[in-house]
Amino acid sequence: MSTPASLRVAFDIGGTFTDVVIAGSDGQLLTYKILTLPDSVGADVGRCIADAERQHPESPVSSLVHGTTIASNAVLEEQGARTGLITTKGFRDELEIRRLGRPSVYNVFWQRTPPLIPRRRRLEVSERMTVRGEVETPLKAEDVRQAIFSLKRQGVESIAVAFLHSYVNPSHERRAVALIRELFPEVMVCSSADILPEVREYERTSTTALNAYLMPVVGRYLDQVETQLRAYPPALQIMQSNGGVMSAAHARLRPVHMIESGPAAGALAAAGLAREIGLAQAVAFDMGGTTAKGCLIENGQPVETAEGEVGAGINRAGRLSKGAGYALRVPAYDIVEVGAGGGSLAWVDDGGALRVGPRSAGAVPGPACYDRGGTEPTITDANVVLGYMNPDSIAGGTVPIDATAAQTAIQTRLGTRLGLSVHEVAFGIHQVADATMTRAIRAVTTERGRDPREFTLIAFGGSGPVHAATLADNLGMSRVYIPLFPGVFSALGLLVADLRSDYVQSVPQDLDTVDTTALLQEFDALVARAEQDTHNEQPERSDLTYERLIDLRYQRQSSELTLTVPAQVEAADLRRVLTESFHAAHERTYGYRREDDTIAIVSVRLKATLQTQSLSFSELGGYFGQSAKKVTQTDSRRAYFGPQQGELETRILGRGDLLEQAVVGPLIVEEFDTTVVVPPQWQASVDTYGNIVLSKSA
Amino acid sequence: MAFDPILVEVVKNELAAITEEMAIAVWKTGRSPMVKTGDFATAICDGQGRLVGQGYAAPFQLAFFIAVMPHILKKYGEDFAPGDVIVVNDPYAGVTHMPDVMIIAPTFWQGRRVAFTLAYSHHTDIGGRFPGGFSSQCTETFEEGLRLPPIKLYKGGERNEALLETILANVRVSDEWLGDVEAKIAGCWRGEQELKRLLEKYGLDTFNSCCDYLISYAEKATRAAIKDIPPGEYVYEDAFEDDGFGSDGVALPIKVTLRAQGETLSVDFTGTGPQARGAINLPLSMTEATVYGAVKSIVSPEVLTNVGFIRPIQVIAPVGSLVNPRFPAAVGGRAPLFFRVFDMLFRALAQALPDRVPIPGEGGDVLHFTGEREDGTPFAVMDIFFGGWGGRPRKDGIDGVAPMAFGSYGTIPAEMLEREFPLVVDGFGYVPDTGGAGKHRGSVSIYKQWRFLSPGKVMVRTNRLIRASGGLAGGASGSLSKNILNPETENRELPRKAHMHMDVKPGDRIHHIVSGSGGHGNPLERDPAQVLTDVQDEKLSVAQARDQYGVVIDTAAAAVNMPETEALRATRLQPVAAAD
Repeated sequence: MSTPASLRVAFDIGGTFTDVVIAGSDGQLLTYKILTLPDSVGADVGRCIADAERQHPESPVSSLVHGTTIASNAVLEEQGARTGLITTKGFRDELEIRRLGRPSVYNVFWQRTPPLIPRRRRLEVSERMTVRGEVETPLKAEDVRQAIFSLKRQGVESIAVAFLHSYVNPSHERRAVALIRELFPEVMVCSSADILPEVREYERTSTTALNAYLMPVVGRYLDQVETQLRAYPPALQIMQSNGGVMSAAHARLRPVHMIESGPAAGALAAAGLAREIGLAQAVAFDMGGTTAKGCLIENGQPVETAEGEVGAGINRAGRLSKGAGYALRVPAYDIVEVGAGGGSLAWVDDGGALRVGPRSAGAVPGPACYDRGGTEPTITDANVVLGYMNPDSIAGGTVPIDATAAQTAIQTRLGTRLGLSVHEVAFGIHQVADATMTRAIRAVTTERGRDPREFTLIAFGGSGPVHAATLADNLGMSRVYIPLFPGVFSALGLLVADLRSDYVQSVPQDLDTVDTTALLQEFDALVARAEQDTHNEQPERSDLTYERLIDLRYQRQSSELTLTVPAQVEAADLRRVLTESFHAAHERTYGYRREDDTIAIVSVRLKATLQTQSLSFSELGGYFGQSAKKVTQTDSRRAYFGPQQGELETRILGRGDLLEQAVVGPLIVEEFDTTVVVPPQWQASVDTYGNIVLSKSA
Repeated sequence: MAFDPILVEVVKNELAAITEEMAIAVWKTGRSPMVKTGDFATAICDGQGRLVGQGYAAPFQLAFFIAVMPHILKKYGEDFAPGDVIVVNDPYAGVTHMPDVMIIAPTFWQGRRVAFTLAYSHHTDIGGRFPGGFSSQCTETFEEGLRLPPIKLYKGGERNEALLETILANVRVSDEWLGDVEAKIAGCWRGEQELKRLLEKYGLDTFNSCCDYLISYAEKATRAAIKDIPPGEYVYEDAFEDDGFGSDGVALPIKVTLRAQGETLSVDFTGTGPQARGAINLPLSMTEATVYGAVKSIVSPEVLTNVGFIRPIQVIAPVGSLVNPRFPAAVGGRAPLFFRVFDMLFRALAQALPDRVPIPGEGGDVLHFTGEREDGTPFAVMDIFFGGWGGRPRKDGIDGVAPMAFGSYGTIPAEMLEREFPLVVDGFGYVPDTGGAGKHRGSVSIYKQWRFLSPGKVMVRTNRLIRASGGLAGGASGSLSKNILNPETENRELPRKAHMHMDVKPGDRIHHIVSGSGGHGNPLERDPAQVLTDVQDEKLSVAQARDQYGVVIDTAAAAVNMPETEALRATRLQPVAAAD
């Protein structure tokens, strides 16, 4: 297949670095890693594109895809807009009270994150719907006007409207929005029935409030990026938390969907790789400087969830103990994040046990070995002491390493107290970090009834490949892939992302009695919305594909299981098909079924996808195979692999050296942006996709 | 086993993850509102029946599993087989009142019984005279519902249908009751699977050595933490205003004496009054649970939740007293006295550790509503909710959160309550001018108003109808709780009883206000900017800002009038003895 020459541009802007990956139509990738400068967001990306254009003179830019932490940072740093909330009378405080819960049981000095919208800007109006959507108390327009004037006086930039039971009957919300548009045209506004037409008022209100809080900030940010890139005709596309992209225009209206824009791209890239090389089950493992993230990949797709919290530092730390941050119910990849990254600090607790994280040395002062003022030992220091990381410099020589400082930090802060040697302590830090990350991976595997031993680990991020093999050992996993470009791998995900929109509608009825024809019509209504939205944005495309999902539970259970509705199923068969698959799914997940029980429908969902041009990892691998430098290094250094193996002389190679031969560990592969540790009992090779494949020797 | 700090950390994390996974299974599959709000916990005990890990527990639930295991082992000795499931709710066998039904399942590995997995949850009914089984208006435990000593619901995987049928015939909402039991069994089953995986990896000897180590580690850490309490005797006395039947002139004495000596702490209730006629008594297991939860929250919050933690703590509770009644005293309505004792323990500890002790906060009130739906099916709903935290050294309380005695309890969405039960939530929010004033103020009250759509029986459990949450270190008291019937028409205050029963008809409304919490420190030292914020957020009136805090608010300018504030505060502050 020949396609006209073009450049596909992906850029992932994080707090410290901007990663840019530009794909030519020949399959070649140009990668850039530059410091993020807040004042020139987008301008640096423009310079990278200009460089790519010099290398590919006849190739116009055909797409611009962007992953960003702007939304999550705005929430974490409380930098969102001054926002107002209008609610049903009697419900203005729920946004602050949340569900009354708290995340830490014994911490009597816990501080709750302040509400996104303070009480003075949460106003009530007289109106009420019943559970069936009948108007019990008509909307009092005068109350809405008073609320609008009050919010106007208070200088809000954005207003969220969330009324009780609006997911069944949104007419009051719509009327209030119309009044706001009429009386306060310059303000941004969104309503809960539009953002999340789903039962459970706190979650719906919180999600809507987050959206309103982000709209002005994200809008200004996108204006800035688009201005910087206005020389390029393609419309800017934004990565969502669910791994699909949306247009920048859509992102301005629904920024709540881009909270996990960055991490989702990494999971999507790993899934694309897994699909292409035929891995049915994989775990994406991304370890950076302060956190590690895990995401389960099944049948080539990252697993999704619709439950989450944002705004309390580490995301989803306690899966039951909610109340730390702000509830957010939008489809997102189920990414579990734990406080274990290269900069995480190691310490000894009062009981004399070695602990690692969640506190991090950050970029400043950083690990002791960076010699920038850090004196407390970190995971990176341990990895230097163990001989895993280069004792002189990393990142191609740009970051000098002081191995003595790492040794001193570990010896004085920990070794003396624990009565262990520097090597033993450093190895302990490495293992405790592995244990913490093991918990994250178990959260996405064993908790879902999946045995991690049946999965392959795909490891990336700056520190991921250092820990990949030992982490896999912990989980009983026997195969690890380290893809090409592990340091900018997340940006690769942007290149493979499809255009995606999610729709939901609560349908609170029993499966036994629901009119199945009407139920299918609920899906049809969502399809019509999806077609309308797509037509507005991409009038030339008509190849939208759909996945229909349904949330079911046994009556009165507190949470649902989401099942796929088969594409061809007829209304006459729908009840039987869903009943059977729900009982089976419940038994698989929780170990029992209740055949005689009533199954309740909660919501129907639609996932609409417009496929994008994919990226071929085999082409990338082929390109790497042709160009890789096979300069066999003759270096070696001593590395410590635990009390049984002790310190071993360990070869240092490059990725290219593994092209023609499998090499048995101990072995270290040094790359520009990471270090791959291959312990004894593991061996490493490079496959045709350019991946380093680690496998456990029999 | 030689001390291996790394293995210990790994196994500790594994045990925490397993109990958490058990809790998720219970929470996700449970049916009753109580499971959804979080009134449940899960745990793992080792082969000797010692608690080694606990998931998702409130502080007061810490000792529940510790108290019940000896009764299980005493009865069954070695008579366990794979597939056994024991059920128990007997307050005289370690459970703290009968609605709490505990499930215990032995874990077998390589033919040996190596551990137990446990789960309890509060059921919305357990039969007996009053729906819910937690009214205080009973005098003997026989009135309170169906008492289950430790018995096998499953024997070798085979369910005892006769037993189950008997239980279900005795409870008001049998389908939901069974659903919750199944959820707990699912949790135990999940725990067993995960424990087996752990044993495959490390073997039994290592598992047992780690348990030994983790238990002695918790003990050692607790001893070290207790040593930080200045040695001495700390006494706190209070009175409880309800004997289970009402509050007319009732004042039941409660006295607690903390004795900190080196690495041990004794908590002595000598001086506490005799057991009450009504069911407000704390069974010994609940008294111990209250002590352990309170002490851990202040003294050693970081220490692992296993049996080692309790070893350095001695509880002395005179037999026949409010805190250790004789069989067959009724105990179903023990919660209000438990909240009070928890609060007292904090205040006693505050004498020893003034910089570390907050006011634990208010709430734990409940609406219990039963009846029949239009289609004739029975329903029982429990809506538990909370006020917030009291003032703290260096920090305000928190408005609208489960108080410190509770864990991560939550509330049920109004939209779900209205969907599943014949009632409507009219509103739910803050009540201004109710938080105890202080340099660091206590939480404001929260009101909730229910409207009933079908006739039924209601019980409202209310704390602090008579005696307010006092301040600490010069802070003021929070406001009292209150129940009002039909505020827009009759506007009648309901009787001030800890457990108030009434019949409701369609259209009736109950407006409930949870008490405010006490403040910490002198209110005249509060930062005027914080006072202004509370005024702007309508949690405090301009009048109260002046009266309670000596802060003059200029409403037109939305600012503090500093000169007038300073002048006003100067007149209020006590004259200080002349400095030398």
